[in-house]
Amino acid sequence: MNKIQAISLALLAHAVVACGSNPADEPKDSSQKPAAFAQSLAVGSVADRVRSVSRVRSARGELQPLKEEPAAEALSAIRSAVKGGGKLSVPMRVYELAPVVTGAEKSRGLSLGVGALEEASDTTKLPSAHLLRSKAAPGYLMRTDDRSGFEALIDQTRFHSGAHPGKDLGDAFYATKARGYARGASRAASSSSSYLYRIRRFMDASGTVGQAPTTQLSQVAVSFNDAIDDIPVIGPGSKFSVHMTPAGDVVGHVDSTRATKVTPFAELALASLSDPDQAQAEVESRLAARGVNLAKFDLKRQEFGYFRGGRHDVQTLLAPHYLFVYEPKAGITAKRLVELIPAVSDASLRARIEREHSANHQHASDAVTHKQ
Amino acid sequence: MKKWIVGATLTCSALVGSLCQAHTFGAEYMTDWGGCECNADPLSYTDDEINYFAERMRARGHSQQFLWGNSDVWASDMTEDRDFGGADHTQADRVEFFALASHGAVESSGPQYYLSPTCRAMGTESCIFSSKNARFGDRAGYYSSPNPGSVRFLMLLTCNSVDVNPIDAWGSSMYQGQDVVMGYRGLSADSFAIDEVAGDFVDAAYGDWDTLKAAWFWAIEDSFWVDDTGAILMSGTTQSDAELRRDKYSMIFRSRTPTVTHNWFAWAWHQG
Repeated sequence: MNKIQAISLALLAHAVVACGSNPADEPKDSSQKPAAFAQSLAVGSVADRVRSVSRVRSARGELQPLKEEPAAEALSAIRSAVKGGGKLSVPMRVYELAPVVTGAEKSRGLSLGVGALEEASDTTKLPSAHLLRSKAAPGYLMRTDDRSGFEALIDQTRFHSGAHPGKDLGDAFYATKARGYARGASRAASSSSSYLYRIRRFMDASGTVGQAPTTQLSQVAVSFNDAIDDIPVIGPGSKFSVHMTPAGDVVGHVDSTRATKVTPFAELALASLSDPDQAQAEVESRLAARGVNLAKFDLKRQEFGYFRGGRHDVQTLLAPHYLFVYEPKAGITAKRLVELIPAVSDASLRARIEREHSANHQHASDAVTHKQ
Repeated sequence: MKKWIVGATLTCSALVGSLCQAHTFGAEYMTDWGGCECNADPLSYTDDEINYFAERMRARGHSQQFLWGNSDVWASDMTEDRDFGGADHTQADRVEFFALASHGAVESSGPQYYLSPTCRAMGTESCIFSSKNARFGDRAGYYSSPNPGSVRFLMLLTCNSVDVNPIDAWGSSMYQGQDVVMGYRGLSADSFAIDEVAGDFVDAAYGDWDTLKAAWFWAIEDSFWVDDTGAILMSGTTQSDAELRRDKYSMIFRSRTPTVTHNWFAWAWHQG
């Protein structure tokens, strides 16, 4: 057992003791429920709400993109739990991601039906990146990255190339088509934990001065998102996107899913999650320290979930995070602000998570020069 | 941005043979308006976006002509020299590929010109650059004299850079010169989530020879979850020519014939 696991388990044990150490809280009958019992019921329901994906999916249906709703719901549940005392155990975990499997790209083409893939010569690619092309299906290329484990298969002759406009056949059609493709292409995307996340429509338009443009649908992308323990994964990773022509022909996929090791790296009690209000205050404090005037912004999104990084990120731990998105008020010229913060209170665990994240997003040594 | 181990800069022809197109490029970013004539909220990731873009361009053998930040970013850098008081021929319009990461907006009334706050006006009407005063890539015609331009590829990593009415913003500039504008429709993010977008575009457009449309949408694919909406604008002599260029144009295309003017425009974006 490593130090982090020991600390986390100690926190968990403390929380369990705290919950079970007061027998006077147990109700004598249903009509006389002491406050603590009422609280435990409330927190019990909170645990269900944190595990938000199945419930939101049941409410919305399989063919409705859930977008950020499960993550927003999870954060709301955590907030309620913490305000309600935060002493009861809601098992939460930190997972280790399984190592990236490398060297299987060539045979992967066979399983995807585009033939064996050959590494293309590109001496200036990123060191971790691979570009492979199919001889049997010359339009197809695959991009992979040894650091993150992401994979993309693209038909270069049709992926935002050439004109393939068509009638919009509706969310249900595209979601069903994409799910069918995902079942054959991705174990993660075909699992029951994967849910319909977003459906994007790529639009083309053309025109000239003084004339209303003609607009048409050119491509559709259906994205599925992973959940772990029924808690959503947030961030750029853990998504499987199927790109299609308007007619539903698949022209590529982008897979940023990656398995976790079966045994959790650490178990977290609710008490060892950081307070979302405090996390938000910390985020707003660091924005203010950067000189951002938050009076000009509205908080648009607030989410809780396991965070997965982007297509080039090195990541070993999958841990709960809070995410806050601020957008400028009407009339204000400013960008959307997206801020992430680990949701764990244990200092050493948080430090490790933050080290890994910041290593992926270090501010570059500035190559700027100055005008004479 | 990551600390990639990038090999020595090689000449473009040594890298990819006959397909190669070595381009000159320049880039600018704004993170801090302290001491500037214009005032705006600071940004935290625009320097990362541009530095990573420049790193990937250099790694692929393209020739960096300048990289300016903050107090060295002026409205005159992007403003046409003839009639508009700018000095674009000495900065943005002396390279084939110009990238800017900063704030952006569009005029709230009238034609939807693109606006971006820089640090100083330096002889132009305002420290806020307006696309109304831009004529990029002018190698023939009225604005090519006395100083012709060079820009073919314009990447604006700001909000609203290819917005709902992109002809308003860029029609005059693309009439006789530049080939493409890549940017965002609506808001864009200042976030860890977007710091690799411009560099990923370079790898897809120059390394994999995607169409520019595909390379730009590929680059943004990793950040759609923050609601960033990429958009791209091309032009042509006719409607079908503009559409063909939007759907087929890649880095292996030659630049436009300087005397041919473009009155038709074709653009793309995503939603949802």
